[in-house]
Amino acid sequence: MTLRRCFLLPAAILIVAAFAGCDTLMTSTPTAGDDFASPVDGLDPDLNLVFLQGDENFAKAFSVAEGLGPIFNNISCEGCHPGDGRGTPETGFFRFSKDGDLLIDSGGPQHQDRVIAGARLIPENVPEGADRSFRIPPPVFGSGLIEAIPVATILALTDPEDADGDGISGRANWVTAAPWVPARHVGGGGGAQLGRFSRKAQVSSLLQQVTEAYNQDMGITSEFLPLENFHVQRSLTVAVGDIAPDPEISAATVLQTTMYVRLLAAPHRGKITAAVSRGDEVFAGIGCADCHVPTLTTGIHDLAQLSEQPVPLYSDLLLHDMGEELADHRPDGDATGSEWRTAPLWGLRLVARFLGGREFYLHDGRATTLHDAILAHGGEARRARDAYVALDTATRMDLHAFLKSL
Amino acid sequence: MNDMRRILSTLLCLMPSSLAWAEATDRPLVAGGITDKPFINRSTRMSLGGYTETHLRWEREAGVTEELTFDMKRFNLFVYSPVSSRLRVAAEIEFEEKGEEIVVEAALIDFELHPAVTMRAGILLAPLGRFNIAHDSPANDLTDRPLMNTELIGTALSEVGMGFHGALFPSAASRVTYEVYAVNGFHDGVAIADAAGTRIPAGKDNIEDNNSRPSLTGRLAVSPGSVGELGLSAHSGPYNTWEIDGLDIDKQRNLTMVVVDGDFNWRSLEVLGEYATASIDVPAASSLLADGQSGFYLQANATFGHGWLVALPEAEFTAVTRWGQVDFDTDVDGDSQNRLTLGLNLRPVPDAVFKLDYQRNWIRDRFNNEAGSAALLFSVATYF
Repeated sequence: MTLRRCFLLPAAILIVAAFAGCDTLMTSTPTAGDDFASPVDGLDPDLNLVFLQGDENFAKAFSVAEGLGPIFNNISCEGCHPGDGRGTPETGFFRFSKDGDLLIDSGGPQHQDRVIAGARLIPENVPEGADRSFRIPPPVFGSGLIEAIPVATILALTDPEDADGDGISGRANWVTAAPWVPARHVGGGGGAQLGRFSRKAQVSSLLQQVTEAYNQDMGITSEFLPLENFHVQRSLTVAVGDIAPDPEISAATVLQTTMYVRLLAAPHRGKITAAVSRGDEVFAGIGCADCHVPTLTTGIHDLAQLSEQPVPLYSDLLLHDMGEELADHRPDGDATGSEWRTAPLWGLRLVARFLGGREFYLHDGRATTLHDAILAHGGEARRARDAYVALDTATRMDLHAFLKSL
Repeated sequence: MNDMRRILSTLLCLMPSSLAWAEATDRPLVAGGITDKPFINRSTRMSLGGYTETHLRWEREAGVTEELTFDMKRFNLFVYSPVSSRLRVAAEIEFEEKGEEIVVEAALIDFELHPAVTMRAGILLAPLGRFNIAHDSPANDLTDRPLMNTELIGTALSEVGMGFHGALFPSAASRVTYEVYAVNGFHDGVAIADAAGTRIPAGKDNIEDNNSRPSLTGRLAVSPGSVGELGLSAHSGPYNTWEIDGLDIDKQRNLTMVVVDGDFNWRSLEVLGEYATASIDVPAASSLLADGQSGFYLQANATFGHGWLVALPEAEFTAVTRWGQVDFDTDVDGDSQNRLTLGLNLRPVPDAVFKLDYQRNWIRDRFNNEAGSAALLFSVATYF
């Protein structure tokens, strides 16, 4: 009796509670749609396997022994994109060039601010007189949906000469894909391709985006880009301290990671309250939706989950002149020093959740509130910004509630 | 037939007598060979023992089962031999994960110079906190070791070195113990081996000193009596290679760890804990590397139920609570882990234990985002 009371009973309670209340004691699954790292619904087992392999690659932190560096910005994809969302100014870096010259011979176009411990090198510097642009890492979820939007859909939104006189132009950034991107990939092949990824839409292919991130951000060579990113500012044509054989990862690994990013779902909308509905109307009414187009639609795609699907990204994926307020004075492809791709707004409600409670907006993370981010708009967005400034406090709060529901 | 008898008789005469045969077998085939070791003739003075432990682990993260597995965690063999009244040899060989990892955790010679001074040489457990020098699973009241020991110190941290240890007795009840050794210390792995960043355990097993400069480690412990013990220990020295063939390739970089440990008993209650802080000189250009780390654990054990089990008169139960933390980078808010463990043990005999633990982890990444994991663990461990 004593035994039962003093040992078996607590033990039984512990076990039963653990099994019965798994979610309380043994951690619970996040609510569906409340994160950036879930796959699109309904993948078959083969694609689930690819997704899981890619997820592992995305989280993989590279050590020096595995090929990190010799110069690098971070040790893993996730190191810059926590939870597959946006990064912070601490994880940001400069892109630099001079009058369109990417300054490859001076370490461009990306400034790697770290070197591996084994190399005992000094890090790169942004060369004197170069045009520099600080960028925080953008979110990566929903990339497959963006990739699946037909070129024609995006081009239909362009108005480079502002023919409709609404003050909003919007034009495509035509870029050249890296020669190793197969033509069967969206944005791959020769000739001009529509840029749709990165801050200035300067990348046309998801495969290129991922491969260059491995090479430039982490110093990881692959079968697509087998040559190390050397520290040319130190006149080094060898990867000091990096003795891992090149390529450091296979093409299969890059393709898995690309597929993982492609299959990442967008988060669900938050609760639609009365304030959110009112804010939605304000958003359209003051002209935000002219560039932050609420929904585009994917074309026919091999994957049913990406085929003819609505993409509620709140962007037209086009370049707009944002004025001096946001200008970085650094052209990128066809994009001028004051043009930026309309930033997708989906997932705004979860920004703080994956940044340790902090919020960073705009390409360089200068704004820590939505209010400051809106106020920083200029150029083609000046009219919408001024309309926002003229709103009364309650209406602004409705607009914020709407943005925080995305 | 007669011829055959004559031949046989001749052969028997040529064979040595039984005495001569015995003399011959006393001589080893090879002097000092495998059958000619000193311990063979003093087998009664050598002890062989060890401990073993097996786990059943159920671990979940974000609502998903990460692991539900049996784990034959360790099978450790001890050898102890008092070679003479002043000379002793002790060793521990560890087989982990079904022999996947075999390590000579300790292999040391103790030579008593004076009742208060014993010289020690060989592979020894660094006296960095009390847990690192006394961490056998049957003696540990929870299945898993404290976070600060696995993630910061790297228990079992054993190193090759030499030094001295001993005990002083200021009064009849009190005792002061000391250990101080020069050891090979850590190697460059502290900064470059683990992709997660600075990880001190990744720099252990410096089998031959990588920089020709020994590190120093030592512990001073004061025990006022049976009530408990308070210890202060440290480990300090260079960990990197800064010169090869006379050419400078870096500057000397030091790693210093300081640990405070305590263990106090009152009736059937025991409270124990350790706090560790580490200062690491890392290359500034690799700013993802932490130059400061810290960790602690605080544990309370309550023993009860002695004599409750008629069939097991020595049996007793222990309720255990431990809170542990490790901060992998003291300069940032995240990059840390906290762990709460609740356990209930049954010791059928003092040398064996069945442990049932619930473990909850709060892990923060460098962005200070929190992720949770939990585990239900059952394990059995015993000395033999």
